[in-house]
Amino acid sequence: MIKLENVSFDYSDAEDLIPADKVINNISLEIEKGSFVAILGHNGSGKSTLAKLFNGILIPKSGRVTVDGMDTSDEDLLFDIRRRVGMVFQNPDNQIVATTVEEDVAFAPENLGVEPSEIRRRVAEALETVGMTRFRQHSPSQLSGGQKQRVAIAGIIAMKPECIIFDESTAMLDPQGRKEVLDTITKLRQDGMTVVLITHYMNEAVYADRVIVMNDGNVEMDAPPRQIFSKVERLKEIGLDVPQVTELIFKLREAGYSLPHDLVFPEEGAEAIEKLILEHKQR
Amino acid sequence: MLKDITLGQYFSGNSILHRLDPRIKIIAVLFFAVSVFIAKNVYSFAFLLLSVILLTLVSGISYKIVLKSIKPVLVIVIFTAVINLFFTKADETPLIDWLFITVYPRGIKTAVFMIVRILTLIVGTSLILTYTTSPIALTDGIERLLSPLKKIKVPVHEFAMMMTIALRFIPTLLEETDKIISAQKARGAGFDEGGLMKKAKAFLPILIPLFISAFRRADELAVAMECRCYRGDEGRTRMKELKMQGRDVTALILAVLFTACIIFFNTLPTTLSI
Ligand SMILES: Nc1ncnc2c1ncn2[C@@H]1O[C@H](COP(=O)(O)OP(=O)(O)OP(=O)(O)O)[C@@H](O)[C@H]1O
Ligand SMILES: [Mg+2]
Repeated sequence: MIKLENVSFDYSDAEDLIPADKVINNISLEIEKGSFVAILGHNGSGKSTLAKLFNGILIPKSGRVTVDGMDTSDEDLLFDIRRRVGMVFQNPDNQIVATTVEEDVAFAPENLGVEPSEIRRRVAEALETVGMTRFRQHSPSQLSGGQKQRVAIAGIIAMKPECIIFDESTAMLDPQGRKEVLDTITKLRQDGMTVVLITHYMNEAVYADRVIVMNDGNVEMDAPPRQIFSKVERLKEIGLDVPQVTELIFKLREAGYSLPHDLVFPEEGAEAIEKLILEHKQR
Repeated sequence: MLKDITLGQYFSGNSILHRLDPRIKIIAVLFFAVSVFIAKNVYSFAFLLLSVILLTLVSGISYKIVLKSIKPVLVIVIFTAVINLFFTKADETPLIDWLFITVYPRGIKTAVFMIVRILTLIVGTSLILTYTTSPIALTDGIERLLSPLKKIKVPVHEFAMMMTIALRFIPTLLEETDKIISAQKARGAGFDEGGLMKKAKAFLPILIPLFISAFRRADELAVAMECRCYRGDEGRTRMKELKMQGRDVTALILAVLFTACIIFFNTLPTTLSI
């Protein structure tokens, strides 16, 4: 549903004499409808820039970005593009516009010109999805970080987009808040939402169907999580971690134990090691 | 410490005053204010006092809270009363004529009426507007009352949006100020010592980070609003429609009648007038 063709981008203005460094360097990729894509990369590798190209907040300097066939460089289409591709940012405080939870969730449908009765329905539904119905009348300043982020997500859900991009939306939250947000994402996935998850937490990325690894404005790797995380050394070279399980198995393999190289979930790691121990005992 | 500041001072509730259309309340307050200023004899002032007491009862807000609203203006009230008491001159025998102090009966009358005038104005407008109308409803009401001005290109919607965002970010920025103050104190900054200049200088290290962060927030908020398809007033609907109801029409009629009553009372003959 989102398609990039030879897209490049830098932050220079037209009047700048010296062109700035390319932040996105000739990237082509496609995000399929209904997929769950994680984007990884070190700080400044261009993840947020890439995300902002997806819904026309930024326009490519060369190349083409299309959403359901609509070119983001066409200003008349921006409104229709943005209602299809929602975006949740890092700091929930800077995304909430209104002084009560329900007013804020209503903001996007109001902008879309939806009928008042339908807005009410959407608001109720969105708050239900993120589990914040109880806080409808609260002021955002009375909520915890995780709750605020869930309100921000509800604000996007109420827009009824086809795809939601989460740009490090769990980065400022404590483990509890992070779990709340991840549970919400899981629920959205079940309802068939296309999800793009930008994150520094590897154990969040393992749940994706596909992982894109960014490095200095280039797509370094693009594959299912198992394949990505089996390349432990390369990931470390470009400043990334691997899930703890993968790290442990990698060290054990280095020490000469025969274990599968593509384990990413704690449960399967535990199982494999248990099997190994049993085999050793039998000998 | 800063978090205790509340703006707008809205007390949620479900009284008839709370449920009235904000537009009607704004208009009613205008009628009320005009009435307070044209009141000029004992009947009209008594009527003002009576109606404010009635408003308090109707609002369901405790009289203690209502009395508290008077506190900040107490100084002004006393000041006005004193000025009127001592500086009103009249062609009558003074009640007190001692050294340079002369007090005429007319001065006492004026002072008392002034006190009633200021107090009823403050309490009345608080009860009708700020205490019983949420800030968001108030901005909404203002936007819609002024919406005819959109035709002559007055940015009414943008102004209302600015108000809403300001209201939304006041607690956030206060919290942030608190944090910055703590951070600077932890680095040994003192804010409570020294003369005025020194104190003012001490606040510079608070203001600068606060401004920088406010600009960053504004930037992020603008992008987030764009992501939610905001494009100003164009084609925008509202979840909470303001619909005039029977009670709103009644309230409007009452407001007009109220002013009419004051005008009528003003014409009644009495020596107790200004
Ligand atoms: N508004 C801007 N103006 C100029 N340069 C920018 C701007 N935003 C980002 N950059 C630069 O573009 C590069 C990529 O930034 P980007 O925010 O896309 O990285 P990121 O992968 O999201 O990093 P992080 O993990 O820290 O969020 C960085 O070198 C950054 O300095
Ligand atoms: Mg980023």
